[in-house]
Amino acid sequence: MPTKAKILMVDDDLDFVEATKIMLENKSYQVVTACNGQEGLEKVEQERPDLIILDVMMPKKHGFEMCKELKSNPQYAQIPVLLLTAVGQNIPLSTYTVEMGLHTEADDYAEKPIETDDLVARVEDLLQRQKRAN
Amino acid sequence: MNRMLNNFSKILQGLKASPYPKKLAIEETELIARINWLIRLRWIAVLGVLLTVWFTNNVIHLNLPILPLILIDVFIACYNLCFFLYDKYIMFKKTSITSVKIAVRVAGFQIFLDLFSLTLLLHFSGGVENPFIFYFIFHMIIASILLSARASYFQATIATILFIILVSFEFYDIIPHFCLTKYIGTDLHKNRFYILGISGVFITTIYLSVYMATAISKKLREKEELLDMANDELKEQDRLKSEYVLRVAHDLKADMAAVQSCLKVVIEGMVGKVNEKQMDMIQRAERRTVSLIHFVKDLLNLSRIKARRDVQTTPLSLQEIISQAIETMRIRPDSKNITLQMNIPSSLPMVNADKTNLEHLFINLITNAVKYTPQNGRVQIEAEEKGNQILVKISDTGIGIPGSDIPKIFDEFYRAENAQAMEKDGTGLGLAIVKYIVQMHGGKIWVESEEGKGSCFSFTLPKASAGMNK
Repeated sequence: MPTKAKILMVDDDLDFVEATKIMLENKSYQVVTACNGQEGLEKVEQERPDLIILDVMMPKKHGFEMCKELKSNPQYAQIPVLLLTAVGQNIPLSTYTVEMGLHTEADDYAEKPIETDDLVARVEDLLQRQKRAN
Repeated sequence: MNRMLNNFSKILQGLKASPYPKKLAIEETELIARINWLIRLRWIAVLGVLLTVWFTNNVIHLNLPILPLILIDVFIACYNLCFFLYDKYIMFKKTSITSVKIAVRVAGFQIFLDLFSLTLLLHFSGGVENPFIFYFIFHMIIASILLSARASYFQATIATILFIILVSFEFYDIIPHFCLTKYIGTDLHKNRFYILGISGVFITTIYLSVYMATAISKKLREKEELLDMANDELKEQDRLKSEYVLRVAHDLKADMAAVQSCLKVVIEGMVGKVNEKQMDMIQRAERRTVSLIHFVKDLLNLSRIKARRDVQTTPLSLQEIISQAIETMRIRPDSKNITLQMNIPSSLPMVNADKTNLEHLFINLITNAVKYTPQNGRVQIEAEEKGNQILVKISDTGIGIPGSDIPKIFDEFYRAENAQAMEKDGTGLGLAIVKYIVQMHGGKIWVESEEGKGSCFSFTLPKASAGMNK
């Protein structure tokens, strides 16, 4: 289990980010944050994280778009992306649907609110898969 | 939480029961329009009488007593003018419930005057010999259109009485009789005038009757169309309302997620030590947050289902869906030592249903069964084929539902008292969601239960026909 993996969290909900950051640091992960998609992409370049936790609903560039950009860039395409959202499935009028997410090839999806253990488990799972793939 | 739910359910019950004042506006304008139509018809009738009298006297050379006939015609024209003016007066004033009643009575009086005038006209043009005696039919049709059934039969009686008076008075020579037959003779079928007269009455009666009746049936069909459209509009409004609730619930959930995460972090001790009292208060806060999150999630589920315009169904295996549901359930039956028994024949055909919704359905029903059954109880799931449907039964040995609660148990936000006593946690939406899903698939759901003994929820789902894939 990679103990010093660097995780980038991109979410505009500062309270949630702070709480999740503490949860992950408690498990010995290194956490950097960004609060919108644009900043997120900049941080990816700067920090080269091992995993990205991405929120869907953000200003300036929402999660699906950022994910699509990441995956189409060969430099960052292998970084596992966990899409976190308070948005459920199949909302007819919502601009964001899970189907949209499916097309953006994120590696995992989770619905907010999420239990600490569940989040950590998913993060570790993704990192394991990544390790095996390399 | 329970108080809030009780309030919600009371509001919902109140909304269903409230009687809305009847839409008198539509009936009023309809009635006024038809009375206008009657007045217009009468002008035409006045002209018609003049023309017929002229024709009969100058073309057929039947010497009818012109003066009485013209006088009666003038009489009709006069009272029609009065009604015309009165009608304008009603339209000018604001219409109300009482003015509609008055308008109906006035219409009745108009028809009576028409019957009386027709009888007089007939008396001066041959009485029982005159084929125009059948024109009474029009007044009966008009009465049936404008008045209530009882009033119409009353008018029919008046017409009959007037007819009997006319015929019997002429028979007993109480009043003089104007004879037509001296012009016509006995071989009626050879008589041009007679044939002309009968044909005139026959043809006009037939076409005018159809005109009157179709005017009404056309209106009825138009009204039906309007009703259908209004109904569709209402359904769409309800769907939009659910979409609105959906969006609100989403915003709520986002905030709740943040609150819960922050509280969790404290509870797990990740931001330092807290003393017992602090921990206690924070844990209370966290529990209420979790409860609120469940509520919002359930509300989201219900609104999501209601907001959908269509249902996408595929053939599904009940055993698979139920097994998946049991896996996904938050509550574990073995934690209360409850045995979960599945009696589903392997030969059971597949159901035609929406996968996510069907899973939700079973999660809700089985969760309920486990939740409200005390330790060492039993939950049984059975399914059997019934015609072109599958009947599913989920029964438990739980606390049951009191008789007075059974009719309301599927209402939104409703929780029976014994359920609230047993489990503080509960949104009252689970069964509402279940009922909605069953109805969405065209099925029925019902419950048999005895307080203290247990409950059995039964519902039907459509069977998937062999080789059908939607």
